[in-house]
Amino acid sequence: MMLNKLIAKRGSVILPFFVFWLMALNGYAQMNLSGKPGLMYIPTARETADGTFTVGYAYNPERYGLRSIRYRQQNGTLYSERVLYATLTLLPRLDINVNLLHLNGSNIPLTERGIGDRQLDIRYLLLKEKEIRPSVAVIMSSPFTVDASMVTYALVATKHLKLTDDLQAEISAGMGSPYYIFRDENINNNVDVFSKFKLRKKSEDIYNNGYLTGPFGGISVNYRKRVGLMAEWDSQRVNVGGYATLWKRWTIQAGLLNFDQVTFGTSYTVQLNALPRPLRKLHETE
Amino acid sequence: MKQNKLFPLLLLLGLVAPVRPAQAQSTPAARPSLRQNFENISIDTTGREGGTVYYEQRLYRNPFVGLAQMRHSVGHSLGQSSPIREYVPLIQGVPVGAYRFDTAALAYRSLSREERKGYYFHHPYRPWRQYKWDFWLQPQFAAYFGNHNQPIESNTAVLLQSQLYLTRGLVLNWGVLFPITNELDNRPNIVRPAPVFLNQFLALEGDHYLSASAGFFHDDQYGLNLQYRHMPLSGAWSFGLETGLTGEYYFTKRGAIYGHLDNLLLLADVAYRLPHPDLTLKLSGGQYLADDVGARVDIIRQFTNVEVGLYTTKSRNGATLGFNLAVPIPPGKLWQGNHARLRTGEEFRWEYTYTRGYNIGERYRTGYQLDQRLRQYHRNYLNRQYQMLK
Repeated sequence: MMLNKLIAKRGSVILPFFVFWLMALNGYAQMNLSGKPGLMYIPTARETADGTFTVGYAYNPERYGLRSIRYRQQNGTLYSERVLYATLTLLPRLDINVNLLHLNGSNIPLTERGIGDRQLDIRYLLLKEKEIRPSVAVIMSSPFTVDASMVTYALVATKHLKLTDDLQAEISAGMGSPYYIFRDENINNNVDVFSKFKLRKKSEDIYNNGYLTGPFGGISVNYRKRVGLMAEWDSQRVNVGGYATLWKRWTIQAGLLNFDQVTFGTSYTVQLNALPRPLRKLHETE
Repeated sequence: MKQNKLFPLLLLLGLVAPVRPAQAQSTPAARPSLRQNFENISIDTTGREGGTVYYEQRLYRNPFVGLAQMRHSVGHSLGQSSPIREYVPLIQGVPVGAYRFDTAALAYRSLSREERKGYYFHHPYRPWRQYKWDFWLQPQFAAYFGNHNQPIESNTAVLLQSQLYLTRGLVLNWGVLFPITNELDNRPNIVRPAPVFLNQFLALEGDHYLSASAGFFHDDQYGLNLQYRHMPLSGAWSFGLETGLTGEYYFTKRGAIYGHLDNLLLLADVAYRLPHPDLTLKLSGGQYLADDVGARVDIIRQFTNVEVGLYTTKSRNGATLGFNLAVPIPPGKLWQGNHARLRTGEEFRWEYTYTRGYNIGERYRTGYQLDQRLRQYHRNYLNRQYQMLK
């Protein structure tokens, strides 16, 4: 890891601080492309504390565009994509995730201009992780969507294993549904969000990007939940990467999709259930 | 710390030489910096089991911050039993309810009409002395997303707002609006008055509350608005009624333009609050703006400082859904003295609606909505933070 090199170079100055972060702070971890707890493309069933709020950004390279694949197939034009997201553990077990997927570039088609392709996804933790039992989560993109390309309909299980005192592994396996629900409606006619629901096979929509269609899985090995390496099968390809969490709240991550192109992302996490700052100060003076 | 130790002594001195024989009053001298966060503080020490402190706090969206700071300031003294037993926060000079820091949990009891009257009698309302000139900066942001040529079309402004406390419960809200962008309509982008309106907050017997407003509200509506709510602040159920008669207004360079006073708002709601976590389910319905009749379901989660909600509306005009949030605006206090204060607004409220242009279940905002304001005073929500503080 780059970070390890950095530490080695700076040696004694940074290391004590770094060790202090590692020991003093709870770990938040990496998010997938759409802003759900996960690896690179795949989501996991990792439990997040009630009130965990994360905002982030992810970059998806041009040859693996989920939405831009449409233009690649039409006329061979390649566009990379960016995803902006916010995820909140609204209730214990329940996460809501809003994300915006947008094509990068100044010459993108007119229909792609805008703040991006909006999605509202939910994740519900069916089972919490126990000593032997893995956690199990169901993830669903909202069926009110008219036109979305990063649709997630999946069931996933995650188990954490302690390898040594410092090393931990997180293993996930899941299944992405080849079908999804959407609203078969013109984007400009939005008067009733509860109308015209339709079940469609992912391979039959205009994107047909195969995102999370079929079995997927992955493993992440981390050092004290601070830095880690990961590898995944995203139902289509093998991706590998790494991540680091800095100053308790900030995560940076990067990966290589299909051993071909680089994806990267960053996220920032806060706890909305924490005691308000003025009271923390008060607490310390008492 | 030193001041804190001195404080019980000062309080005792105050008791030995009371100003009034029947109703001993004293003003806490300890921790002046913390005390400046409060207004209209009065301590009533005639209670048999301990004193009661009444105070108003406009700085924080989360009332527990005020409650805990007040306890730290007057009630919590090292090594001595606290002379203060109950804490009564005020809204516009009106007591909301009485809170007690018991060992196990925060306790709440509603106040009777007689108790409120007693307080009014013994603590005359002198708002020009008891309240600061309180100014705050309030951002305002309304936007449409989805135009391909201009992804974000917004109406953005910063408001400098203030309140003038007139009689008990009656406040004049006023301010100046400084526009930043206006891409939603072709109205002139001029510096203009921010919403100016009178608001009367009333606490009836126990947990019955009333808020009446008249004037120029947010969202270009002027007129009258009346809200009633029965909200036991330690219970699960609450219900409310709201009615309003308004018309549209906006400002041009030559003055204000008024529409007919013919928008009727007539809403009723019932809300259930889960004991854990701080989640409220609310069903409301009735007549909305634009002659729309419908119903709305809200799921509202209160985190410590932040509130996040999801909602869906079904009405004659269509069906939609979205989310909303309410967050405090950092950094809060910018400057404050004994008589004046400049701060950022205690709350920024924003709602995202999936659809636009169909006038589905639309309404306007006055200063605060009773249910939004009062659920911040719910015992369970405050107690959750007390448990963290212990």
